[in-house]
Amino acid sequence: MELSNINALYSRSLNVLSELQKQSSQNLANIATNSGKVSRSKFERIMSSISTSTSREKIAELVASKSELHEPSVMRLANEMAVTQSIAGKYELISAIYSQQLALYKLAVKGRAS
Amino acid sequence: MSLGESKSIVQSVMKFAVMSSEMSARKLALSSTPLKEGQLAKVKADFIRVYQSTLTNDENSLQSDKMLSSMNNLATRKEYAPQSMLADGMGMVTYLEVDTAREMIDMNRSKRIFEAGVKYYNALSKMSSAALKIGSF
Repeated sequence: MELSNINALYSRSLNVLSELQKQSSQNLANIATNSGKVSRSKFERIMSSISTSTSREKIAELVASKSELHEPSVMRLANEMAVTQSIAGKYELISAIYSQQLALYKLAVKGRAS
Repeated sequence: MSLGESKSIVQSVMKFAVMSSEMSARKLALSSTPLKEGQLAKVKADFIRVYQSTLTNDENSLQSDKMLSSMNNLATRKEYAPQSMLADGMGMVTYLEVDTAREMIDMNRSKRIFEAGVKYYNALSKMSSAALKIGSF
């Protein structure tokens, strides 16, 4: 696997996570207004169906189509909070790895120049 | 990698929670205040004005017909108090009919939703700053 492909994959996974965060925000809005069911998509499931060339719009469609609707429960606010924290954690982790990857690139370029 | 949409949804939810809390507080304040003649219509108009001014057109998803109709159908109760200056010919005074327990629960719920919104917002801010740090090594 080429390094550029790995970087594209990191970028796609960050896109997936921001779409999942949007879905979670909409769930919060539904909880506030007592309307609708809670929709939930799994990060791993979305990641398994995208490639390095999948566009952001396509990712948004996938998140919507692969979501499962759940009946609202009394714990849904607490659940949503846990989900959003988990997404934020994953996002930070992937962005840190992405960052490390770019640092390696920089090092490689420097090494070649000297 | 835009997180802006999520942020604006959460901001709307927080505004909604504040508005909902204000509505409950207003109802509780009015529950023990006698209403003058024609004041009920003014109260209804005030409620709807607060509701509509809080949420912009972009936040239509948060506007529920149920909430608007509950504001339009505010009920009243009458109590016998002939000594009151606001008593009618039969000695009855009009009050706004408020389920105080329900309103207290709603206020508490709004508070929790607002707190959740703040936590969401912080999580989104952390995500944005993590994204900005990419490549800064």
